[in-house]
Amino acid sequence: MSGQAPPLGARLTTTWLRAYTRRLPHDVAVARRDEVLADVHDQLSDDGSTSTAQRSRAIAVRMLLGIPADLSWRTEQARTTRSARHQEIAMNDIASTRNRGLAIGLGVLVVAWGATMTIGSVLADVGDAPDDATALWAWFAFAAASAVGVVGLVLLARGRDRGAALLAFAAVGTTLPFFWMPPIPIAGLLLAAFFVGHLWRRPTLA
Amino acid sequence: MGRYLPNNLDMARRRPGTLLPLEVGLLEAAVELQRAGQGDCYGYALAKALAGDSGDRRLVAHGTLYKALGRLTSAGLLDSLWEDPAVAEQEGRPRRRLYRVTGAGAEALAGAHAADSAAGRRGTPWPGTAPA
Repeated sequence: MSGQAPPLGARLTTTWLRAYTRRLPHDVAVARRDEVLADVHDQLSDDGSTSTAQRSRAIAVRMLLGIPADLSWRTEQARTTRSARHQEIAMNDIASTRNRGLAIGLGVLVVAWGATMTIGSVLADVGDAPDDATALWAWFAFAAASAVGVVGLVLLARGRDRGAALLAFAAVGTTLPFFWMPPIPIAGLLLAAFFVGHLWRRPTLA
Repeated sequence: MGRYLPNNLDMARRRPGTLLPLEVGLLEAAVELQRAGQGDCYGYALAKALAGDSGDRRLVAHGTLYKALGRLTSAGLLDSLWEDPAVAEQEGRPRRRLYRVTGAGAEALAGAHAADSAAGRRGTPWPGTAPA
């Protein structure tokens, strides 16, 4: 058959195959096409006692009579694909809700810590002139980082995962002034890493 | 054409665990081909075996054949694997999907035969066939 145009029956079958396997998962579509095209090739190569024209006609009739079953098969495949996709989305939603809940919980801790430190540093300065530049800088760092943390928390609670980036900043900002007590900034850095990781873990649908 | 449609509609209505005449025919053809020493069998060989030696050589339609083979494979009554592409290339043809009757398939076929014998009937011809 090589070097010649395929008979009409084979061409019609190929066209129909392409049509009803369109937009199906690639592996499903390719498997179906390969299997039917091998069948068509086998029938055309099977000399028997019939002419090429007769075999081509028989292939076209087999294709036509199989159209209802082809359409039914396509519907089943599309339904299976849709169902798998819905399951994947549902699983992503569950994972996403769980991750966001954890991020919000830790975000509340960061903001509460920042607020406590801000208020604490103000109270510590009551009666004293804030002439110590370091104390002033620490107070400003606590206040600014806490405010950023509140914005991040609100964004996260509204389902906008980018709020986690602001919480990462707040976690570092509210713990870094304790550089002389390493466990505290280390805890802040770990929290920041968690929030950044939350951004990476966001479910994406291909 | 209408007489070909009930084959699809029956899929949803038939009792679980029962085989359609076409499925029984395919299992019989596959067992026959395996017994004849042809080992694994493929779509066109099964269609020819189903048509048998009848004068008009009616072959089952592509859609009907491969949908039924898919059902039998999903049910675990047939095993399928793709032929080695090198073999197909050597013979200058597309690769075939090869089928083999499983133990469960042989049991299901024996069960279908027993049920047919008890009911005193033979398998009915399958729809969706065309002259070769």
